[in-house]
Amino acid sequence: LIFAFLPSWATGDIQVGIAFLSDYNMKIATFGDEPDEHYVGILIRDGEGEYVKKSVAEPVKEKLSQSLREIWSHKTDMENCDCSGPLFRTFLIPSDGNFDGWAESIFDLMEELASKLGPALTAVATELNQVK
Amino acid sequence: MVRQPAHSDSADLQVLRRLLSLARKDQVQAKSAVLSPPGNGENDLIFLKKLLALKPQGPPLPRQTTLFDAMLVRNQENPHSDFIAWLLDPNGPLKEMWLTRLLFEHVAPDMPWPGTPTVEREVPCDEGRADILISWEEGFKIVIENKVGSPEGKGQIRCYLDGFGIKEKQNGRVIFLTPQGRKSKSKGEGADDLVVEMSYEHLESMVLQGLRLEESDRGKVFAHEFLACIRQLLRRSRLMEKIEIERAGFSEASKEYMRNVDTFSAIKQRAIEECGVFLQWMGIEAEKRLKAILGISCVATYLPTA
Repeated sequence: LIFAFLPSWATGDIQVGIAFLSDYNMKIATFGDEPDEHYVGILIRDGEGEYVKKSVAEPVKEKLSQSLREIWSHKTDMENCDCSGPLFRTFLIPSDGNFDGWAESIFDLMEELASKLGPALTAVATELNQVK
Repeated sequence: MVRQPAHSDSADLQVLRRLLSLARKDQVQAKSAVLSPPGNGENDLIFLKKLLALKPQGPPLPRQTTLFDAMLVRNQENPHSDFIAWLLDPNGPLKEMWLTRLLFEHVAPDMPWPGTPTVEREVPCDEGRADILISWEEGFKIVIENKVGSPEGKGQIRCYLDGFGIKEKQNGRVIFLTPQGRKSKSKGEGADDLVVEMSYEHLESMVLQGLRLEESDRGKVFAHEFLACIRQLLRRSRLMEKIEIERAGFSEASKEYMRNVDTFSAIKQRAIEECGVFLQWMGIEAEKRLKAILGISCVATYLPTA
């Protein structure tokens, strides 16, 4: 998991961040063993990057979904997300073996998320902190 | 989003072996933390390409083209028996029971059509249950034993002959229906005139013949769907026969793999390590790029997954 965030995106014990999650067991497997388990998105974790309970993450995810939907033009990224985040896109392992290009497309999306959604993430976190 | 791993003894064993292998590797790599640069694996690449070139070219994966495929019951006996019984039933979708009439003509060509029958499923007799029973008030019976991928029971057909009182031709017939039209081994002596061994291909031809008589769209639709279902079953049945023959040996790819299991494991081990290094680089690169956009206060963490 690569999890990048600004301190201003925190609300309580929850940290919102831009993430690249490669969900495979890196001790015994390769990217290719889980070809469709690689994602980029907005992730809700604690300050250490660890999971938070659904009951805690769900309200934050709902609030983020409402706000980001108005800004993010790739609507399919916001469908079928679970409580761990409001926005995700899968990056399938490249069938032609071009992992440099694969990594580049992952960085491109992370940069697009940072530039387009950064201010909105700060605004949502500020609003949630004020409610508390 | 997070898939739960399936656990089994063999999976645990694999994990254990990998961990032991990693532990041994760690001892070696303690001296040199950085992997040797890419480009050193030419022999591995040749081996892998050779193995890939040997990959067996099998038939494409089956698509869900019929109702039975969609219901995941393509090769199951009971749904086929249900479908056949429904097509034979006077209350079924076929006009004027044409399939029942054709079946009757086939098994009892010298007898006049006795009129509207009753069709039942899973009818018990002395020591068993007939898949389908077609019976007429006058006493004539057709018992259908439908076998799809299961063996004939000991004395099964003889049991139906006795249990349903089919001792002479005027009492009825037992139809032994199988995809290949197998001969019954359990009918016993002197029952050749009372037992009709029928293949699904024969049934298919009967349905094709009768379809010309069908006037209703409903009847046509269900008859066509039945044909599609049994054709899929027959295709599968022929494919299985082919597989049975091919099972006697190993494909070239399998042999090549088994000769080189150590090489294969070593290649995978290297790929595992390279993935780890690649991810670490991605973490550093992502942090650099995101800091350029979000500013110096951006924090990036890298957590290995396991």
